Amino acid sequence: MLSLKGVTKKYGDFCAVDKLDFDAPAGQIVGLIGPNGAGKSTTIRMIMNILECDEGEILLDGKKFTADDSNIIGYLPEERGLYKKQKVVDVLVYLAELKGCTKQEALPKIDYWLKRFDLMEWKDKKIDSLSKGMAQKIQFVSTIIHDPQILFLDEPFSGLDPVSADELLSIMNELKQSGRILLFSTHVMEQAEKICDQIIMLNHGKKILDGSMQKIRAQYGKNTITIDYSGDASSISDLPVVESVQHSGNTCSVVLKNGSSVDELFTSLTPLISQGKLSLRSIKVDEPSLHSIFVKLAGHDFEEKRGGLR
Amino acid sequence: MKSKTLVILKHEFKKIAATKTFVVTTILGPFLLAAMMFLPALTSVDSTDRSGESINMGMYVSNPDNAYVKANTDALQAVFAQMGWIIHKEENRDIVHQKAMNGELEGYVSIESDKVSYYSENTGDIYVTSVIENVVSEIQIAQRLTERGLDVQEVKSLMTPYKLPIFKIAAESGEATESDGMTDYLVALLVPMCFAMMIYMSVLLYGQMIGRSVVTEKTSKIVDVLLSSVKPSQLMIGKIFGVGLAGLLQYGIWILFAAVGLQIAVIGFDFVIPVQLSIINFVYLGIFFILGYLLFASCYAAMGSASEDEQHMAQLSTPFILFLIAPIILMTGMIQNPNSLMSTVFSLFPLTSPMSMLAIATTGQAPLWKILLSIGLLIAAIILVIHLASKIFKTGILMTGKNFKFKEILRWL
Repeated sequence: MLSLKGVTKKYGDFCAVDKLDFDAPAGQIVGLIGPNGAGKSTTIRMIMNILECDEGEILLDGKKFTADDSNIIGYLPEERGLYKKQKVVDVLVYLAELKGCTKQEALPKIDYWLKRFDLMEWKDKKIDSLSKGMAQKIQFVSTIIHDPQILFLDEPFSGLDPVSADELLSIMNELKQSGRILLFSTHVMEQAEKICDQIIMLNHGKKILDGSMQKIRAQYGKNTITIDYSGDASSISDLPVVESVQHSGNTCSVVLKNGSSVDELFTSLTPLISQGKLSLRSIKVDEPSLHSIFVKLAGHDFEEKRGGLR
Repeated sequence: MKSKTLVILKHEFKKIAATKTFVVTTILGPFLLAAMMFLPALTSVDSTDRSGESINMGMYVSNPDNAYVKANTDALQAVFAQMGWIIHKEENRDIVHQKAMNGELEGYVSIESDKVSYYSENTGDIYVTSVIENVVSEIQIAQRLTERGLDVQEVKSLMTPYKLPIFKIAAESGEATESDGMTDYLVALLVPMCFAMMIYMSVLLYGQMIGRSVVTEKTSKIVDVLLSSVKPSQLMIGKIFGVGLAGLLQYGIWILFAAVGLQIAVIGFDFVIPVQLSIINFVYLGIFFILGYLLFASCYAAMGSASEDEQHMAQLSTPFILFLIAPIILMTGMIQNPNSLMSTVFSLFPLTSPMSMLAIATTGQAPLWKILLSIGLLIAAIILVIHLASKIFKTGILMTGKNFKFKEILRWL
């Protein structure tokens, strides 16, 4: 388990990461999300030992995680870059050697991963002859050749075709099942929702969300209900549990008052049904998407900033 | 962790030494340098030389029975024949004049009883006119001498000019050796000049290579991956020594070329190796290249890490280039006057000393203690600069999005 305890990084007066705590357990994919400038890159760089933290500590299985542990981490940065003028295999061997592998150890693994991504025929080609997606896959391969314990993938799916994306996803799941610690960062909320076991959201260097998708949904969801009906629904807005109603055709979207449950709404609807005023076709509790939660939490600032600019 | 520096070193070395450019410059370098040295000398001497050409030379003889005319005619004919020129002798001036005019002849010599003159469309040809002039004036002088009853051969031998023997006192031993003044002066200037140029070019080339490679890694974002594996100082040291090793390999090959070339010259052409090309001077060349390179390479690594792109790096490194150029401009003065204040300052101040001290040392004009002091100061400066550079490197390599000024960079120290 990788644990951050009170990790803080300041650039002059500006606090990029403020007393950040979180745990990334082995065998799980942990998503690190947040708007631009939230402190994700700084956090990653501190975990990768590129930056030192000003306060707090980073622990791996209870022991302090230092620069000497760099061989057990693999890092796919958001902005990709490889040596353009060099051969694929040479670049991969070099990056593996920098992680403490010997050339002999690295070569068979390079073959294995290139085969998996169907890139064997490009092994002796120069990097600048590859397409963007291919270079992306090569870079991913470079992060796992040395079999790292901790893997950080920043936007790993951007630029990949669906087949490669599926292959990448299945590799991520294999790594997860073999007990690796996987950290994952993206701006595509649907991906984070689908892939991550745990989501951590940062804003202004602070953690504003932490937990499994289920837990987050439980926290932010269940107050919007969509009802599909026939008959007269005008009296729904008069119900004591209802905050507001939006009608559109034979569908209405009901927002419950704080503290009211779906069960209470259902009970208060029953008399209307038994009186024959209303007939329900379907009733559905809206699951809030991570996207909407993200916008709700981070978007607030944007509104403020926009206001300020005016 | 040490071995990672070696991995970087090996990678940087291979990245340079395995390129075609490296192979070509390494092999062609000495030839280019030789061409630079000898081409100006060859072209300035040879441009007017027409020896071996069979020039069509006209000759108008007005009064063949006249003794003066006869003497000149015979002498000129003998010399022309010896030089392989084709003589067209005419007794009619109009014919030979016409031929010279329509280009059949280069020109013609008109020999009359009171004077010899030359007519040609191309009067600017010093080679032809000087041949004729020499012959005629020798005859003229011989005639005047004979008229006064003097022996021509005797006067000639009496008139041989005196050659001043020049001795050079060696700086260390005080031993005096005879030297050929002018050639010695040229060689004295040429060898240190070439050595200094070599240092200038290679330090600039390899220094910029390091700077560029840092900028490329920074802009292409490989640096994040690299720094998740190694410490910034390891990356910097690995780069400096990897590129330096490639440079050293190139120098090794060049010095080998020079040694073989000189050996061939000695055996094949009885060439006497000038003192400036002695083994010890090549050792100095090697030492000052390594030290100069290390100093400037660390500066370039730091500047590269602080730059946004190559143009920005060029801007930041301009002050350093000035320190490389100044010794070249002032080199002649330093060699002629190695004990002046300027020479002493330049040959001891680390940013200028690699070239300046090398120049003074190769001409044998620096006492050993001064050379050692210069080397010592350089090593001290290198240690200091590497220390400062790795601080700048550590901060600079992660800074993006701004063209930092020199002042701001110094604040990172």
